[in-house]
Amino acid sequence: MSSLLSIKDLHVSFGNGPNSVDAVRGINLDVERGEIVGIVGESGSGKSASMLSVLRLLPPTAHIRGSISFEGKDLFNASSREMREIRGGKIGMIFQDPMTSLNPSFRIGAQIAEAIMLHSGVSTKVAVSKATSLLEVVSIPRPSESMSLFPHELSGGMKQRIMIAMAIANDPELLIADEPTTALDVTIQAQILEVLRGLRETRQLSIVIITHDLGVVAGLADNVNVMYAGEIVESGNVEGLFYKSSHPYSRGLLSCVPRLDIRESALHPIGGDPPKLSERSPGCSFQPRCKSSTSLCETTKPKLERSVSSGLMVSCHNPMESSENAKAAI
Amino acid sequence: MDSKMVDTPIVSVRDLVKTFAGRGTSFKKPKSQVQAVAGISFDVHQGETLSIVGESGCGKSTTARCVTRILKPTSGSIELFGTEVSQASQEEIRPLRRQFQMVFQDPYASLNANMTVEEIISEPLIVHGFPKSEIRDRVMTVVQQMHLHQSDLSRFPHQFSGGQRQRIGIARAVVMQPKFVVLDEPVSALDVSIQADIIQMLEGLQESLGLAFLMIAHDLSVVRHVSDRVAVMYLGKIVEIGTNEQIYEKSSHPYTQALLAAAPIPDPRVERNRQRIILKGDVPSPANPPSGCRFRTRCWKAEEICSQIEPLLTESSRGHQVACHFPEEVNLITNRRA
Repeated sequence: MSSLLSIKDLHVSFGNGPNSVDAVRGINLDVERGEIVGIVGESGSGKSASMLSVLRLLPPTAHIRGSISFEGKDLFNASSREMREIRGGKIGMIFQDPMTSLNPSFRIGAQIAEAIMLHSGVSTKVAVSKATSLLEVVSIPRPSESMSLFPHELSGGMKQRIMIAMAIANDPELLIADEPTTALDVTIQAQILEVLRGLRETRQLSIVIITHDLGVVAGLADNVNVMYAGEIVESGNVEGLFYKSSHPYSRGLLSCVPRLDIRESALHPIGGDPPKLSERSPGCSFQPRCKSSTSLCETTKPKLERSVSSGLMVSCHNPMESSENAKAAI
Repeated sequence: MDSKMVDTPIVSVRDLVKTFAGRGTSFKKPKSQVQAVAGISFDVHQGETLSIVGESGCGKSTTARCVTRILKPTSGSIELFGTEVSQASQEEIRPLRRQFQMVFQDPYASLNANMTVEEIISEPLIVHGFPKSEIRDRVMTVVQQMHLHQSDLSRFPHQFSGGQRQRIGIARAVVMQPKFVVLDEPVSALDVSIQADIIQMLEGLQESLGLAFLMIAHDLSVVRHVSDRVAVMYLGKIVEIGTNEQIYEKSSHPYTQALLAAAPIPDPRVERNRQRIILKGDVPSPANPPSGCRFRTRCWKAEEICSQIEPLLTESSRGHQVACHFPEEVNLITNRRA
């Protein structure tokens, strides 16, 4: 059976000529049914751009190449009408900033009911009762009274829950969550992650979660893709990635974040800065910051290939030795 | 003797209160008052790092701004290097400002876009009337310390990345050779690979200059790494304060425990087998805090007494103070040594 979502050789660039910016540089990604896929990377690594192109939400200035298919349907050549049905229908999306994603002049109940009516054509009454039950699913206290609140009366965590309620209103197959907890406090983040976990359990929802927080991925995802400068540099199942990664960037990321449960004597910064996306080098894009780079890395781009030792997909000429418990070994 | 053991604190805050005028509901009625900081006390000793953690709206940034006297506290006392400054005028404080500096959260907003890096770093020296030759020397030293290049001095802030800008912001603070620096979320606007770099740099400066830091932060993992002592704030009050080990391994306040349990650990096996504490609801509005213990509306241990009597900070072991009617030491993180 084919994957729920399948992205093949996706390229996204903005602008023309020498100043154009290559945000996504040929990524392949599959999402299976009921699976939670994490995409981690730093700002500008192309994680949001690649997921926005799935829903064709990028501005017209973006040039997109490659193929994206969802339930076997080609999303690149779908008509605008078909895309409208898929957005918010089969694929729901939640964004980073819940503060600006809701319309301030409508009550939240009306906004959720609108999303339901647009897609299923049910009566207002049915939509309102469904909206109320959705508020319960995302653990909003006193759902029926909360229906008549305006967005400004809600806290950030509550707004993000409303966004989740809207995204799952039409029983989507796939939920794309773009940094869903970045703007929120940790105790609220814990609540939202609990809601997402519950949705996967009860609805077999597939989720793509975009984040820069390795801790969130460690607790939630089944499979993880590490992105750097528009490319996936390493991917595989979550345990493999955290314990057996061999790409110097993934290893660097894991060893540069301080941990709650270890009081390290020193951190290990990666050093240098991420490359500008307008720069194109023939070699590996991580090479200028990489400690194990050779002359080959400057001239030839490594391919994403399966590593025999770790079972992960890695794109590196000189992968680091993968040892169990990599964290302690570094 | 370890410099951290020196007994007289260089910063001493007692019963600090800062009230802001809230939004009025009518012209006739008096405006409501929001107590952002509701009576907190702490000391910072020479060469140590005290971190204040808490969620948005708990008053941690207001505390930092009162200590550096960007804001004037409503009441309470702030002693900096033995001088009472809580109600002093800006002119009276200016000579003291040589000794304490501040680093801001947003490196994009805290540097003047019209000034070159050299102008930015040397401005505090000019304000304090240093001779030109010394200004040049000090700027050069600090540029080297912060791993910036000499050629960077004639460039403008927009030509730098976030991490480099934060280094410029830190350079501006340490060029005065202060004894005390307030860091307001110094790394939270930066990418993770850059955070480690800035943290290391700050640690290096602390060691070489004997600096004391008051760090405001919300990332508990970063705080664990850099702090000697930690204060946890909730709705304008300190609910628990203690050494790094006391807070992380022997936390006694339910709110501290909830914060620790909620902070994700980047390790799937550890993260998936941890005890989870999911708090109910949101932080109440500081304009109308709950009676008694301010945390009781979200607390799973709350009883009758919590709504009637406010728990006071009491010492449970040396240096470890908790404000709770039902404190209980719990270690929520299986400790691993690196």
